Amino acid sequence: MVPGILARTAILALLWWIITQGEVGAWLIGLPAVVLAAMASVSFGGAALSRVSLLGLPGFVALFLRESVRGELDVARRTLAPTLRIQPGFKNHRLQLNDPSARIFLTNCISLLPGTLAARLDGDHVEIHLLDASADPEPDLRRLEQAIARLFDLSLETNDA
Amino acid sequence: MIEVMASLLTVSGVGFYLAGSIGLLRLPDLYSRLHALTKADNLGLGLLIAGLALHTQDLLIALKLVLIWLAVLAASAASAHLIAQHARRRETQS
Amino acid sequence: MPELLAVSALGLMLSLFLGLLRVLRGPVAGDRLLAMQLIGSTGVGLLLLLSLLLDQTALIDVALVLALLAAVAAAAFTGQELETRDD
Repeated sequence: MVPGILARTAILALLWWIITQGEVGAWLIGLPAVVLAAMASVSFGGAALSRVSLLGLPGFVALFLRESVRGELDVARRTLAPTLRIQPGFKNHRLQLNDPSARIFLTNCISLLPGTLAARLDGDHVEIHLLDASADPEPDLRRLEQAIARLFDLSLETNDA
Repeated sequence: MIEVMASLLTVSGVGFYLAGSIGLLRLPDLYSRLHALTKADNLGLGLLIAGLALHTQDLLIALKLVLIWLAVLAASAASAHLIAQHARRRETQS
Repeated sequence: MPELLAVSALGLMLSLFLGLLRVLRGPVAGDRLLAMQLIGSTGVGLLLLLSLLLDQTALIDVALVLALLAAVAAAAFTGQELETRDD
């Protein structure tokens, strides 16, 4: 647990440094706050977060940004067209990630990426609302899950149900 | 050159904000409107911040702007999920 | 560039206004809440733009606080308010 606290303290201290823009006097409040926050964050768990792999980070960020731009252009075209070109509907997706925090992270990414919205997380299924239900979101979701698995250094459940 | 890039990013960010608001008004149901919310936060603010960060040319301020973006992303993903889940639960109950 | 920033700020204000229309229209509390969220993050963008335009770096801190409070607002509202006042 001790290395966990140290790493978190370092990350939080970095955040504080950025937020205060290097203001020296601010450490008077910052130092106790950082230590307390690190202790609180350890007691809350958040196991996956401490396993973020630096190798997986660039790949995930690149995928997220690329998909955001590509999807948003599509969504903007649909919503700004003289007649709305949307077919909203729900679809179920079976999660391959096992880790609970990684699953929550995935549902948040699904919501942020254009065209998809995670409506409900239920066991190993996530109910997804699509602006265009005629499209198949599976390939994109698979790629996203793989990128997140690499980000947290996890393996995917591969047996198909 | 950097100036031009910064302006371009800022203006397209504002464009996505407007697209999001128009979506908010035009889209027919709650779930579809939630799409407009998270997307404006993601790309609208993202591009705006990219433009402003390029414009300030101060690394520390740029990092702080990115932090703000991440905070807004976390907030909008969480609230979209909460609102959708809440609505969905009501729907399936009644 | 300052002119461009000013025009962008106007664009964001228009976006704010459109969001307010959705708050007025509803029809359910969820619609109003999500419109408020959009207004909040438009506000963040507007503050950041103004901080550069007016050269007031303190506005960045205001935007940061607004961004952090947005998450709390959503959690509080869905937990409490929507349960009781959704119709």
